[in-house]
Amino acid sequence: MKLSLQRFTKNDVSRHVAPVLFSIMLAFALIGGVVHLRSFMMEQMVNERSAQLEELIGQIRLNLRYGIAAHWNVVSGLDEALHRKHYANSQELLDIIGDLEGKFRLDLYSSRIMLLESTGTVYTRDGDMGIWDDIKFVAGGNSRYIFVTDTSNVKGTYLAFAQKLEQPIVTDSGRVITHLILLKDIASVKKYYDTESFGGHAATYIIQKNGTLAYYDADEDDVIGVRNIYKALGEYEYVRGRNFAQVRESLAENGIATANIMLNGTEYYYCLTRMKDYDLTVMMLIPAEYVAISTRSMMESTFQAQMAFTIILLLLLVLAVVSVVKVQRSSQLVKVEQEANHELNRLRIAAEDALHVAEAANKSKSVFLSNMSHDIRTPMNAVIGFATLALTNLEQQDKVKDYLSKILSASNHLLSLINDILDMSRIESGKIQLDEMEANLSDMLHDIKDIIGGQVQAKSLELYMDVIDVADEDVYCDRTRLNQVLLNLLSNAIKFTPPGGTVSVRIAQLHGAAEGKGMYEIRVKDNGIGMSQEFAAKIFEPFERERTSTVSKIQGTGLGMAITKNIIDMMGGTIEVITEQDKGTEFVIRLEMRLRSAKKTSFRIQELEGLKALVVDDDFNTCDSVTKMLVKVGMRSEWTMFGKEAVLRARQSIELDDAFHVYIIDWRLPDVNGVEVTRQIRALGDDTPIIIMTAYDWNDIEEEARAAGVTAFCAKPMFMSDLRDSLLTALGQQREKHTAVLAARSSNTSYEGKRLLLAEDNEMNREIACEILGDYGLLVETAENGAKAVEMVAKSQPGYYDMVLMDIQMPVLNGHEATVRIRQLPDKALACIPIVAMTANAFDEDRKEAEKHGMNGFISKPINMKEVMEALSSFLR
Amino acid sequence: MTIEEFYNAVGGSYASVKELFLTDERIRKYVLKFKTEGSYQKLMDAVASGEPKAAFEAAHAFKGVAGNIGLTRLFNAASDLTEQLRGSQEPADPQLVEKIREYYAEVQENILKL
Repeated sequence: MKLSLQRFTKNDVSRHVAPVLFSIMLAFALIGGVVHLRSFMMEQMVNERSAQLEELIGQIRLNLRYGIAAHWNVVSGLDEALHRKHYANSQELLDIIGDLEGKFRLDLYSSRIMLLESTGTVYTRDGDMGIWDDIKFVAGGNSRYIFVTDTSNVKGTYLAFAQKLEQPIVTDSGRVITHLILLKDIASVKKYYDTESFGGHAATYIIQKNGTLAYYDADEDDVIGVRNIYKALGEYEYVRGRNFAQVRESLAENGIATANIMLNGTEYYYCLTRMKDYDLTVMMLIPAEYVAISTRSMMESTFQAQMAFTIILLLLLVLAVVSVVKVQRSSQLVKVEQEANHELNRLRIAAEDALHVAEAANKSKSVFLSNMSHDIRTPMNAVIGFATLALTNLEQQDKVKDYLSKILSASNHLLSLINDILDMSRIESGKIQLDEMEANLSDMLHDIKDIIGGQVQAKSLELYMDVIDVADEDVYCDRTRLNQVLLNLLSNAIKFTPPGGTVSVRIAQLHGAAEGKGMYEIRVKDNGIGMSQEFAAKIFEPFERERTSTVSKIQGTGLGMAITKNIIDMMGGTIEVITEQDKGTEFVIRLEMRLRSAKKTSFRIQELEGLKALVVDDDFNTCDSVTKMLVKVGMRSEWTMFGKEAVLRARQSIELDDAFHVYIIDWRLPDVNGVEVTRQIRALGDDTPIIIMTAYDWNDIEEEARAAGVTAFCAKPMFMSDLRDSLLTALGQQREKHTAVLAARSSNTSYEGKRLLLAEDNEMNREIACEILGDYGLLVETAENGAKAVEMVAKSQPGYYDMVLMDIQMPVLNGHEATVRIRQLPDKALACIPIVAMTANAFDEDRKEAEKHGMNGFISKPINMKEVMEALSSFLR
Repeated sequence: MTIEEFYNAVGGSYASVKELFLTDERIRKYVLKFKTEGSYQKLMDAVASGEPKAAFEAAHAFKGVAGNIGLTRLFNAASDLTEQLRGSQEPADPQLVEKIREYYAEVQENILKL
């Protein structure tokens, strides 16, 4: 299960990649959207706030304009009022100031009058104030100025409205008043720009033309902290990409400008408005949080709502994904569980099957046991019964004899049964081990033939044993067990075949074996009673015997086939049965066996190389197989299936001068038997070796066969080794025949052991003579010339040499002379040694000469044994 | 080539030599010995020398060898020469010599096929 889980999660990921990916993308999109929205909103908010500020400052500007306009009206009125009078001296001026301030209700404007004299002295209602500190403000050429003034001349800070008098006022005392200045208490300007909008957090800056601070009004301290306001504004960080240049531009164009800066980490809004005509700029600086608070809070809450919504959406999405994944997971799990269930089911069924098989096996074991006990008891009872009977009938010898033989037979049966049972149990429990030993197939089959030969004959059956294409006879196998198998099959074949039938064993070597191994097929066939198909299917099961009357009469343990099959299985082979009721049965065994000799031995027999052979057998397969084997030997082979034809062919071959060099004839031929064929072939004067093949024991017919001229016998099944042996034997027989003749030669006469001295100068002649004479058991010593011959005779003991064979033509001393010399030897016994001349011509002069010189006789050359024999018989004592 | 074929080819008597030697192997042995046997050469030398007596003796000896192994045709040719040279002062008859040479060559040729 673990395995499948792992597989599962991997699957899971791969499967859910798409939706998860989608969800992630969606989430990103949402978040992105929200973020974008927020920034958009922020910007909108900024714009909104800026707009608000602008509106505000516009309003202020307007207020200021009106206010300023009103004050200039006052100034104009004052101006006019001043010029209506005539002033004698400065005192009169001072008086008029107070007067005018009262008349024009300047207290309502929080203002006072100040007159500027051409000398720079200023006069207020309080008198001569001295030289004015801020005289520079009116130094330009304009007629009107507004500025903030805070001098030592007049206490307090004022917004000054300075009007240059078109007509200066001249007093009699000679004082010239050039400017009329209305001083407005700066604090009272506040009402023009004051606003409740910012919760009192707005800071107001009145800035002079050059950008420096003229007046600061706020509850809190000045956060800018420097006099050059413009410079400071230029240096702050601007939010949302604006800069001071843009601000000044806007200020120049529109008279108002707003901006959004970061100051000391806090966001501020500021707005500027310039009183163009009067070079005065009013700035409001407000911390952002107080700007458009309501809008801001609305936006914030909107944003928060959005965020909340988004988050909820996201959560929902996540939940959805999770649940989808979960659902899929669970369906996966369900699938896995289903699979597991299937597997379990299968296993269960398999287990059930195994149980059935085990039960069946158990049952068959019980059946086996019950059968077995019955089968054991029966013969046991017979033994006891007959023994008892025998005891009670001791005097009746023939009865006792009968009982004893019955006991013997029952005991034997019991023994074979017990053996079989032991075998079976040993095989089944795996205690049997195959004992692979060296085996020769030819020997094995011949042994088997010997064993069953008797049974076959006893039942008047015909036995055929054939070998087809067996190239490798030497193998490794468990000979004992294989014998057991073959004997089992054969004994069955014999058992179940009625008299007159045939049993055949055929062993063939097939192609397609593995390296170093041979594939063999053994067929055991009979034409007996056969089996029914139902039985044939069960034949290899223990204790299966057909329930027919015929079969039940036949003895058997019922275990033979089971054991056979077990053995074949252990050997790694196969066995099958082909059968038809009343027609016969054939068992086919296929077995692969390890070969003993890896290298191919040559089968050639040099002596028979290229010679012709004739095979005579009524079974084509045998003719074919033997022919092929003969080809391997190196011969040419022909064949016929009829004895008569064989004889005719033999005759023809002799006539054509292309005689057969060996005949291989089956004993049992359809038309005339092999021995008769032999006789007829021999009658043609043919000396050729004849080999008789037979599956039977030839002891009985051997004498007759040999008399007919049979050279050798070969037992079927004929393997290559058997054929070769037979051929070599047959050839050897011929040699033997010659040796026999030789033996006859030497035994006919009593010359064995006699010693001759051969005088012959030609080496080859010497050798030949030695050898031929040696055939007869004669001992030969040689001399290569006459002189040597004389020497050897002279040196010898009398009687050492029985005779001298003297060639005439010899160097050094010819035969004649040598003979003379020998005859002249002092030792008489030596001197009269028989000397026989060897001449080439009967009527040769040499012969006459020979006689003349004391030779006893002559034999002709080429050496002729008859003459030698005659000479020996004549001259030897 | 079998022994028998050989004898047939060179005009020898296989039967007689078989009777004497009994086995083909034996025959073969001596036939092969004949291949290198020296009496032929001795004969040719003697004939070349022009000496009738020497030629006679050589021919006689050669005849014996050929006869011993049943090379009948050769034997007969050698025999002819022998008789021609017996007691004669004449040198060897070239025709007869030629015959011997021919048959000997034939024998040698066939020996190689054995």
